[in-house]
Amino acid sequence: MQLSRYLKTYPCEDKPGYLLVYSTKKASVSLLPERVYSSIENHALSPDEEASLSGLGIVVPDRKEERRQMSHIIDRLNARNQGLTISVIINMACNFNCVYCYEGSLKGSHYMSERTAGLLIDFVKKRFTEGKNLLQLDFYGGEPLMSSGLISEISGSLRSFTSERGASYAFSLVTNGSLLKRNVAEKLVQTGLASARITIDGDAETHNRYRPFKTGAGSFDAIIRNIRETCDLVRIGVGGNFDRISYERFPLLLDYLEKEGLTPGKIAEVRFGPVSKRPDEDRSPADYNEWSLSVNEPWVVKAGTFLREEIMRRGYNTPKIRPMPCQIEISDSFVVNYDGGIYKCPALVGRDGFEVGNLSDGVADYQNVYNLDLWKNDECLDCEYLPLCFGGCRYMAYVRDGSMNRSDCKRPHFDATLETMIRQDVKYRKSSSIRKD
Amino acid sequence: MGVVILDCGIDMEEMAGPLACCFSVAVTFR
Repeated sequence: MQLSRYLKTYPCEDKPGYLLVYSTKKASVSLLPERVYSSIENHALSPDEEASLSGLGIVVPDRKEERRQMSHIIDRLNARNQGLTISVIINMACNFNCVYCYEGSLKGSHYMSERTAGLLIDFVKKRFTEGKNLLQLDFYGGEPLMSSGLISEISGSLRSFTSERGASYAFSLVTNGSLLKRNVAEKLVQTGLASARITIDGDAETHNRYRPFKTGAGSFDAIIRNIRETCDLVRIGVGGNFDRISYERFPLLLDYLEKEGLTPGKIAEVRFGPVSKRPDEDRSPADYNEWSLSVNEPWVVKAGTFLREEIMRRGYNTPKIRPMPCQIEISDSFVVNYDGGIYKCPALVGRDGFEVGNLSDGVADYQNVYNLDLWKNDECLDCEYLPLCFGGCRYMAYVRDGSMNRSDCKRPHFDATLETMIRQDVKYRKSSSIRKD
Repeated sequence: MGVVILDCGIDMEEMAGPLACCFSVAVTFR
């Protein structure tokens, strides 16, 4: 047995004689005695030890074979995927005027028509082939709740369809939260609404400056009121977009949520991310340039780990660090625009050259359009961070280079953050899996 | 052997279900 290629090892100062070991392909975390680590290097493990460490992704029979298998991991994952995930841009209308809105010139009074909704339902039914058992729709906008009637119609139909097939159906919303009143949520829950991701950018003052209503009025109070009204009906996730100026105000939001009784038991997840740069060709009315161009930027590293700590130390849930292929790579994942155009990434909807089909004609080959094999090169396959990165974000590569020819390498980001994030997970998650082997 | 398992991890091939965008570029902008 040999050490896996996809492994990070850190010193363990609070437990002398041990190493903190993280498998990037298994997302397993272990404290490994240095003696055992030496045994791996000296090929002196017992059969029991080999079995145990193999299950954690720490050792493999052959590193070359592991690398070869990794190059096909997405194919195997796609072959075993029993789900179908469709993100639906149900409209491009919005009642907010966010300072950084990346939809910029794409925004407007554009709504999915009844006819397109019918085509969407037909498309989903056709794609939900034998062997599928989970249908997940994510409604985006614009602001999706400006089309709540159409969401109900689409979901009602698909819920009946999956029920007849003995499969599961659920949908989620990515919403600004201002229209998610209790009566709206009650109605949508009946057709499968399971979760809503609501964006709040810091404390009231900061949020209202970044995400006002179109009228200019603050939206913070309305959102908090709606979360309080609906958090017993729907899994509420709180998201937020920070920049180098605003991120320090985000802990005030967490304090406020706690004070208002929106405690970790009532909020399913909290996750904050940096505002990303838009492509240069975008014309936007917003005069805003505090975006991030890469997760490798030092201020993003600092802000990201700081906010993760603030979230976790208050007991709120935030995503674990785990393998995460881009949804572009998932063959049963599509993004459908309000006009029926089909894409592979929500950030690239409406951009010339990235449409891979439409609801009437189906999906064409998109291998080259999205450069699916971007990460299948020696540098990426040899990188211990590959399972967490898979070549990074193609949207960010496109924004920086105007193409997806080069990867969006996240090595500097993980070099700077991974150890901290693993230690946060160890410290704050009350792991039920702690055991000695 | 003295290994302390803090998290058993996941099977990568089972994780294709509903996905969140890794960088949330698209997800959190609305």
